[in-house]
Amino acid sequence: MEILNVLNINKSFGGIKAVNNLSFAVEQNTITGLIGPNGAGKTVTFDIITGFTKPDSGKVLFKKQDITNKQPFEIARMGIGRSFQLVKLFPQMRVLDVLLFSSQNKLLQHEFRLSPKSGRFKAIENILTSLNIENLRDKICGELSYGEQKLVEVASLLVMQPTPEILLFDEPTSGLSESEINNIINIFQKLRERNFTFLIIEHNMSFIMNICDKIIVLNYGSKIAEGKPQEIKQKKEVLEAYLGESENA
Amino acid sequence: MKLKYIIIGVVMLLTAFFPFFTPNNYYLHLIIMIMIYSVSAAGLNLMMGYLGLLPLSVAAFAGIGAFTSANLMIRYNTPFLIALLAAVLLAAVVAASIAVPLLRTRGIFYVIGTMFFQLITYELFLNLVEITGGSIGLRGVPKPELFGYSFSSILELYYFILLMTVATHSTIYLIVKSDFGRSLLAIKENEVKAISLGLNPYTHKLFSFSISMAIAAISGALLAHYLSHISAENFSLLQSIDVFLMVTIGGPGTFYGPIAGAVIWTIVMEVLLSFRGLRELLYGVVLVILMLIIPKGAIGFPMMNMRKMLRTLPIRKFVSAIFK
Repeated sequence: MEILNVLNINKSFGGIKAVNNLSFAVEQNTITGLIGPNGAGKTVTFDIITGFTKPDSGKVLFKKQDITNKQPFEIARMGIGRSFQLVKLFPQMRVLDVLLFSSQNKLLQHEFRLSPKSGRFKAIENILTSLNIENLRDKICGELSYGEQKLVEVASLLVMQPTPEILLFDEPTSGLSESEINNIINIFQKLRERNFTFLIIEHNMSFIMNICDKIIVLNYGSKIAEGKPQEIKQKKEVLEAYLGESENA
Repeated sequence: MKLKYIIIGVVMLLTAFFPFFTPNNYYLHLIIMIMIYSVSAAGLNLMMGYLGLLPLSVAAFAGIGAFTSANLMIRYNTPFLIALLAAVLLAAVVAASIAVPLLRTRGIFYVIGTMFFQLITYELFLNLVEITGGSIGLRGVPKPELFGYSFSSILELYYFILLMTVATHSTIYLIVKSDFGRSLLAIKENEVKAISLGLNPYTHKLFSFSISMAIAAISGALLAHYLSHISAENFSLLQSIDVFLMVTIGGPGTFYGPIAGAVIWTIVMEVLLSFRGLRELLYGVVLVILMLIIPKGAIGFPMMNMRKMLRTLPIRKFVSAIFK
């Protein structure tokens, strides 16, 4: 089943076309990669899906429902979680507070109610254990390493209420070491078994080839290829976009 | 953190039994003023410390609270609690209505917007002679009463205001430790990330501003009924800035900071009283020094590593910048 549909979206900034008539679909319970050279419009596409940027034209459907004109927080509540390219969590908050914040019901009437937090604490403990970062629980986010912050960001998406169905990751491996990348791969694969759907922007080719079911290649805001990792590797347009035109062109 | 609770216990005991040690009523008056200021500072802290937006309209809302409650009691003999409730509600509604346009601005524009509201309200206090008594002010504001019992001596007033202060601070404590308080911190730290986790920042800012200004109204009403004589001068922009300074000195974004700030501010102002014309100047100097030594506020002071602090004291940078 297609959980997310992007239909003919266009977005220009001044005279520059950031996204050009882009359409694609994300199947439920798969990992889809969104790749392309710098400035290809990947992050703008993410911003359009999550409502932080409005497209000039086109539609975004989530579970067949039009979300194009919804507010970003409404889209998040419907079940789309996203990470950001530059991890900037809440620098002065404790990890536990960040996760408690993420796991709370953010409708105002719930926030003043003195509800027992024990259930939430338990869920948070479980997520921390499954990501193997229990030891970070009481640390201040700003004092964590880059890799640790990325894991906390993943945790914050997993404890989020209501639990997101699709997770959008913007360069989850940038700035990470080899072992940390392997850890992320493990985590993503485990999460897919738990029925999460992924859409991932990434520059790390071995990571993306390793983990994705489908890859979409963007260049200058347009889709130039779409398919299984093995097919993408062979495509001439993709190689050209990444490596430049061939000599005799 | 056990030390913290010991300190709080000692301070509470001292406050409770203070009237039995004090040589004269002047000190009682001083503590009462500290308590009233601590309420408005704690209210402002909700916006400034937790949400990270600085409204310069605290005194305006304190004034709205004070004049509402005073007028209700003078004209209609309203019981104190009902007058106070009306004052708080009116302040909250006014705050919510000005917040609608104001919260669309950010940073310095927000500060300027609230400052203009403060200036306009001050002019209204001066000119709505029927309600506020104009520049002469309102005299003979009734003393607070509870269920027919009027608190008229300074000792009674002391305990009454202590009760009100503790009640207000307890409410604020519940708010900042709730999910709502955590949401405010999250907005301050990283609004975009907070939105992406499903938070509506707009309603949270609106509620926070309303609550913050309603608390300012409580402090204004307490001031009116304690002093019995209030005028527009009690609620000018300078007072708003004073409350901002209390929070800054004490430590914004911490629960105990504004209380400590109110204590320090009042004591410094009283000590400087004998310098008359030089008071504001010296006050500025003291303030600059305090901010250089303890940038995180008085409440952050004991938690700082002393040796590290001496090494990195910003005052050294300051001095070297001047004599460069």
